[in-house]
Amino acid sequence: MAAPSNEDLLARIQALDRELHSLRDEVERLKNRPESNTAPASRPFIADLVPPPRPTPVQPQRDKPAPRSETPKAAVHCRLCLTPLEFADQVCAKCGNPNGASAAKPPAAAKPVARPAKPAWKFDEKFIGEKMLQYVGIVILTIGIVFFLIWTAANAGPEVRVLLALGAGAALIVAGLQAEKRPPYDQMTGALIGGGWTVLYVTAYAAGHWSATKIFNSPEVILGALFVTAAGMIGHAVTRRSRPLRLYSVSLTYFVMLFCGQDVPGFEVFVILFASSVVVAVGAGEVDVLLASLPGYYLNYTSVYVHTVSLPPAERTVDNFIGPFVWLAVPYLLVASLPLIGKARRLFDGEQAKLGEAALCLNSALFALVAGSMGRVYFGVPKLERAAALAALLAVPSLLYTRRLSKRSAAAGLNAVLGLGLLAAAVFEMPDPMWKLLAWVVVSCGWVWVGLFFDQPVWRAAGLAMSVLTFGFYWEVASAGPESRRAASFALFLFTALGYFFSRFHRVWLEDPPEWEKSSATLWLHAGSLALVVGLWGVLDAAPFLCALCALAIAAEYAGQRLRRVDLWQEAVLVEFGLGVYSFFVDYGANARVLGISARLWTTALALATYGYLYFVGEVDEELASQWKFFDLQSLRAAMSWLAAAVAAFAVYREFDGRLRLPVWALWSLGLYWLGRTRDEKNFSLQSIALALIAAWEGVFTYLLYPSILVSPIDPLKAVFYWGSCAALIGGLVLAKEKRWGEPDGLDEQAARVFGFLPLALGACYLGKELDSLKLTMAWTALGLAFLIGGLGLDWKELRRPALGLLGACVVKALFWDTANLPLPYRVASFVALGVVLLIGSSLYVRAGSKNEKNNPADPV
Amino acid sequence: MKKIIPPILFSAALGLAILISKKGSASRESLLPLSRSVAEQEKGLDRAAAVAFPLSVDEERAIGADIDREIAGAPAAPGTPDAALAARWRETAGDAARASSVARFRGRYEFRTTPDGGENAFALPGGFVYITLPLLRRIGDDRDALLFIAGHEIGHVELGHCADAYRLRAGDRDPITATLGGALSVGRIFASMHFSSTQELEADKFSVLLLRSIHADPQGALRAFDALGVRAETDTKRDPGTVAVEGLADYFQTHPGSWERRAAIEREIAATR
Repeated sequence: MAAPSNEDLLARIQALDRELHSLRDEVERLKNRPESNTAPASRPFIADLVPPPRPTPVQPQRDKPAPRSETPKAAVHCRLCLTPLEFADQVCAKCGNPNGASAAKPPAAAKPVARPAKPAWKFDEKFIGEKMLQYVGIVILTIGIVFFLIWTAANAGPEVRVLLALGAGAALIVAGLQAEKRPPYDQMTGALIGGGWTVLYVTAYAAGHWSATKIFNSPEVILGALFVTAAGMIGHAVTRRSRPLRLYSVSLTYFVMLFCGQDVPGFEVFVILFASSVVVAVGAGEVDVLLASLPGYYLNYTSVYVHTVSLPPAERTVDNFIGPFVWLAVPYLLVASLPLIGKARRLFDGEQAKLGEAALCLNSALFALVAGSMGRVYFGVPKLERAAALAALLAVPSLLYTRRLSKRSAAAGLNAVLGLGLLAAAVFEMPDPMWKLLAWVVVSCGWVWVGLFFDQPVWRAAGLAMSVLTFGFYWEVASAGPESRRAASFALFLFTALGYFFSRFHRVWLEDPPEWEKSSATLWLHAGSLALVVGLWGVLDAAPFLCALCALAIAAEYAGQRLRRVDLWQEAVLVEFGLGVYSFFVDYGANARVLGISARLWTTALALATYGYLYFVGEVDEELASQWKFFDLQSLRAAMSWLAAAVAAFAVYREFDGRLRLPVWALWSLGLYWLGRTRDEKNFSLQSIALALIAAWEGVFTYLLYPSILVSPIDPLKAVFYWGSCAALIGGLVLAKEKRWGEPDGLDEQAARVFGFLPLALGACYLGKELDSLKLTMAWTALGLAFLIGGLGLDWKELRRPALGLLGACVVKALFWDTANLPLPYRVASFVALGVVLLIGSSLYVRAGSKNEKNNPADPV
Repeated sequence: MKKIIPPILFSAALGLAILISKKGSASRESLLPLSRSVAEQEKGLDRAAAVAFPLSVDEERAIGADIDREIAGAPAAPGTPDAALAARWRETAGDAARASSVARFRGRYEFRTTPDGGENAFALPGGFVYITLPLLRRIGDDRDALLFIAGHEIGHVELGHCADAYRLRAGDRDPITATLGGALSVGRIFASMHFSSTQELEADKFSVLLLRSIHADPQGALRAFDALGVRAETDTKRDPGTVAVEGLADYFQTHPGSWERRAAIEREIAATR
């Protein structure tokens, strides 16, 4: 028997393969598993296990590859070796099995079908005749056509050139349409169609403007050709619903029109063109047309702008301005009114909402910028009325947008800011500073008012921002002179009233403001208060202003506590400290007397009364105070007491010379210590000690050493007052030792030393001022002896020790100064007297020491 | 009671503001009150140094005489207008030097004129008082104004300002004094820039008191300022920058400004009325 041929073997294997494959399918079917390589339609009972393929877009059937299916790919295996394959008709890479076309191709062929391998070509006569001839022929034909075109373009007339260009443009468009049906070439559709229309549009332009292709001479015809082409281009883009093509076609239309200056009979053409784009946008429901149309329109407006502002001054009349302005206003109003027109409202809904807002914003911004700048340059002098009219064109739509679009519409906010900006610029350039300030206040507050009335946060914020700059304008006005400053201050008072009103409105009547605006109530309060303070500063001199600050502090403190407003209370604290610091910088000038008392004393007394009320009488709610995290109430009160002491001390220093200054300070120090001791407040005790030390220092350096001729003359009243204060200071020593208010501590011991030393020091200074030489020594000796006796009698070392110091100074003075030039008899007398005094003092010490030993054996004197 | 205090205080404050605004003198913001207070303390220290480093009257006179010899020029020729001015100066200033408040160099003052130095007057240690002829011409026939100028310069001498300036420099009597004096004089130079205005105000005050004591019109002081172009300032509202510059510049100025000087004299006139 002959061995089978290869062909036979191959046939048998293929038959076995088919049988095996069908058996496998049967098994799969019995298992209810999706099977491979069979059309889903033949097995309807398992169709629900396999999601049906998603319907593919309907495509023309001309050589179109099979649409892709979304059905899950069924497992495909080689029928011979069961190697996984990608496609059913794929030649197996492992065994070479062709896997011939099975009963049904899978519905979802993702890639083109792999064609069976063709037999290798042979370079023979057949190949040359059937293939090569046609390839070479088509290439030569193509080259010939290209040469023809080139020769035609070089030698033909403009009509032919135009026709060629039109043909080329049309060909590109057709190519694009065709490519759209043939993926993946559909990705080139936009470029081809866009390019085709560009060629057509440029051809239309060239047909009227380039000498090589000029076939139209009439501007109307040229324009007509351009508009027709543009209309076709835009219309095609609209029907295709292609955004890039829409934007491109509109932009191209305007761009080419830039070069058609002399053909355009009037700028109204552009207005009509713009209006058409608006109609197209509304009709097609595509707002992006406006986003391309607006810049194009304003770009073409540039020549009008330049021409308008370049007019000689004599021709810059209102009439010559109206036309260009109308060309700005009409397009602006066309777009601005779209949200108010029923059919056009869809441009601002849904997915187009953001684009719609962007178009409105762009429209407003361009209009404000161009119209505003053109008017300013044209007229040279800004006028509030013109700016107001322009601002109204922006502001009114802004308010309407909030009703027709959303309350937080970006266009509404931008319009508000632009309108305010125009007004602000006009106000800023007003020549009269006073009117400028008033207008600034009115405009800024008016904006806030509208914002409050219509519940528009952007309006309110813009107004607030502008109003803050009021203070800068105030300075400009105030520096012009006293009358201007006073007038500007009254403008600030108006601002104060408005500020307080807005603060209350924000706080009480504004429902649910945005998070960023919640602090506006406080900002307005502070702005109003600052305006009040600055206004008062402007109308009052320094001393009356200080009194006004006291009034403000009391009022703010009272209101803050009663209304339980922490921001108001913070203001009160600021003013309270501010007035204290301010008092150091008031120059009272001639310090004339008012009702017999100098202005400085009046204001100081008022300041101290204010502090006294705030410290001792005024009630501060602890809970309210705790809301201010920066300071605690105790620290504030302590700082206030120190400030009050400093204010009083400084005022006394400036008001009186040493003869009155020292006793006043001494008594003040005593009073402070009494407060500190009885109320157990260390601040007052410390202040008392500090003031006493200052008094001692001043007693030497600005009283004792001060030229006597410059000190006020002594009289009995002043002498009594002086010595009375020295005596009263002993009371401080008593206070320090008194146990009624608790056991004296270290601070009280220091105070005791101070109050023991101070009266002696002041007395010594007084005597040093009035006496000299030997008389002074004798007087100091007597003083020292008196204190020594007192100290021994009362057993107060605080009196004894300073007395010993003074007596020691007397000894030195007597030995080295007083007796240096005395004749001998007088010197002897002096030494004897001094010796006797010292011996008396010593005896007193001995007596006191022995008495003390009897009473307290362990307690030395 | 507590409840009525705030309204009472508030009303009192407002009332006082109005009252002072209408009846009081002009006031304004300034750094000078603070600055002047510090300068007075510095001057006090300077006076303490005078106690530690005393300069006797004769020593001061000798210093002044040396300087006087150097700068004194030839007297004006008799019969000339300058000679008449010089004579008038000597007579008027002599009246001032005879006031009861003049003690330190009583009877030893010498009043001279000089054609140089602009409109100015100055005093040397020991009682040598100069005035420039242009200033004399400027003052004219106003005797009280001339008395004020003389009293001002006498005040510098009587109050020891001239001595204080030369005190530490003359400390070459012994090594300790020379060393300490030299060291202290360095500090004094810097401090004296600050309290020189204080000394001017003291001299003004002395002069007003002197005018009172010889029954002259203290308003002559203000007329002297008017003649010198030191006009009254009416601007009571100045921006903070101006106030700050004034305060800082005061350190380097030897004389106070018009506002401060005139106000001090008005206060003194009112106090001694």
